[in-house]
Amino acid sequence: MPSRRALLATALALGPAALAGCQRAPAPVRAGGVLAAGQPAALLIFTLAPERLIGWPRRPVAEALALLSPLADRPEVGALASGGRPIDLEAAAALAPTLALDYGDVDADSQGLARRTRAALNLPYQLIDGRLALSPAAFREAGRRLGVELLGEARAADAEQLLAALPRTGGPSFYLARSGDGLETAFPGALAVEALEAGGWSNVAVGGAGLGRVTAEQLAAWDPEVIVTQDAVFAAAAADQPLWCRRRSGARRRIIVLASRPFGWIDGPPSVNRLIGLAWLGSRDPLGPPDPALAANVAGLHERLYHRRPTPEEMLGLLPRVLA
Amino acid sequence: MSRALKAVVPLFAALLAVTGLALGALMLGPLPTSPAALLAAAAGAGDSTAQLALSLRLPAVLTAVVVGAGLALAGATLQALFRNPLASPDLLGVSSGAAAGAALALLAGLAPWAMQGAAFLGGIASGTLTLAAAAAVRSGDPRLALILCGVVVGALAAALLGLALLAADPYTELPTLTWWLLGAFSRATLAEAVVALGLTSAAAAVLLTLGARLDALALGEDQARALGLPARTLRLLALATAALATSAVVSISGLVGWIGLLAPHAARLLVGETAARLLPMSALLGAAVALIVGQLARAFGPAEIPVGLLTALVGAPAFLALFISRAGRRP
Repeated sequence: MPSRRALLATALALGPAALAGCQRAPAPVRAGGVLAAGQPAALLIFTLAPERLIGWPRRPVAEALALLSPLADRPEVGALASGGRPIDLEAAAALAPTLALDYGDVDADSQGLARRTRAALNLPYQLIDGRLALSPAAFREAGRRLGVELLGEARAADAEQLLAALPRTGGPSFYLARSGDGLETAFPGALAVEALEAGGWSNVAVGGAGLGRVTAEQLAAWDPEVIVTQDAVFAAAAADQPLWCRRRSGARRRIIVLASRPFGWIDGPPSVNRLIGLAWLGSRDPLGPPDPALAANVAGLHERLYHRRPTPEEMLGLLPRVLA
Repeated sequence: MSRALKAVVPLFAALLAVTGLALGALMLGPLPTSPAALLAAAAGAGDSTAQLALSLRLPAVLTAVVVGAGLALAGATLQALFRNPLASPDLLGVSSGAAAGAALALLAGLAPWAMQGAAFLGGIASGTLTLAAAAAVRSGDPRLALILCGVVVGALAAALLGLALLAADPYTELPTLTWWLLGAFSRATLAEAVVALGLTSAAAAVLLTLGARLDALALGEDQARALGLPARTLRLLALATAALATSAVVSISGLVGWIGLLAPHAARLLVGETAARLLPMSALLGAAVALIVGQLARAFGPAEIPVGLLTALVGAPAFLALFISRAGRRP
């Protein structure tokens, strides 16, 4: 008898559309549009059941849409949760959703939002924990709620495999440079650095929480081995500046530029897109030039998460660049 | 002590205080280096850590001095012109315009230096619009017209800023914009700080040259005209100069409130109302407050506290204390 993994592999080879066709009739929620509370939830829905995503809380820009399946061409409807233009509840009701789904924090605020929305729209509201380590469980839960259990199980298996392949220790010390001048960063435990920290990389930005601004001198004092950024414009400017490209010893510091389109590899939004970052962190040499195995892995993940396989030319722009 | 010496002593003491604070700010920071190494680095020698520390601290210290002095100069000028102790550099809508300019540049994907340029142009545009709109009002109190036009232009710029905040990407652009709006002395490069210093110095030179004529204007336009002064032209020149100084400093620091309101009040207590003494004293006290706030912003851990928050936290109670103490002196 073929193993469950082999069955899954066969199903994966057939593609998401085939998988969706294998589903049983959705039990918990009747078929219909699903309202995403925020962009992380929208991406989770898009991965598992793109045809059920009513619209984006924030519509991806044209360059991002070009890298996604045409199924992503949905209108911007605003967000229930923070992080985007707030949706009008009446407008939300007019979209006739059958489910609202939130993916991210599950704190008291999020639970309060869930209660209020449920009461206002008389709508089932599913809140799913967005921590990266819980991605497999999130896929399973979302798959169940969206009526695509098998696909949810497949993506959960992907996430488990990627998490298991992470080295966990021995990574370089890093500083995540956000914003145009690079001086906005994420402190340990923030969603933006969850992937890097899960991969055993050591965040030098200690002493704060969440996102924050630091001074250039503080960065110099931390003296990280690696600067990580998803901002190509910043990286181009930083490549010539001693503050960013030189360590205090005088040695050259590496600046790693990760893709931010269609979605970031480690953040932007903090959703299932971060699985691609995990694939990179679990690759043979994340600090070296991208190897063919990583390229194949990334292309496969793009297809499974975004329903479109990048062309070889597009892959060149998607793979990490190490400025050293 | 002669009268002239009495007038100079407080200014000299304030200058010494600013110099001391600036030197202290240059010596303090997370990079492990000594004052001797920093001195050597300033002379072009010294180890690489000291050179790095100096290259990072100097722009921040210069920015604090320029921003504090520029805002205080603009505040003192506006308070005199409007004969209103609540007048501040925000009055002409310049700060809101600068914020809207920076936000639009960020959304357009421009580089940080272009964002500061757009902030400067946004501030100048708002100030010009306010002055032009007020000039178009032919009847009534011209000061009231200016205040109302400033409120209107500021509201328009604030609406533009609100639209930009709504359109900003919540994971990338929105935090950047929020940090910009809250103010910082650490984001300008040395070249940008030097440009702002040049513009602010030019504004200071114009205002100090106006000197006694500003004092006459502070008495009211009728009195100024009675003294044979071209009151409208002088007022416009002083207002435009204050708007220039405000735009120049807000473009490198973001929104920093209270200094422009508080420093002139404190200066008035020390040297009186005469513009020739009030303006330099206001600038020095503004620079001193900015240097202190800039150090406080970095004193509580690696995450920098926005200086706009600190100036509000420090400025509001300080202003209240000043106000109460002055009110208490009344017969």
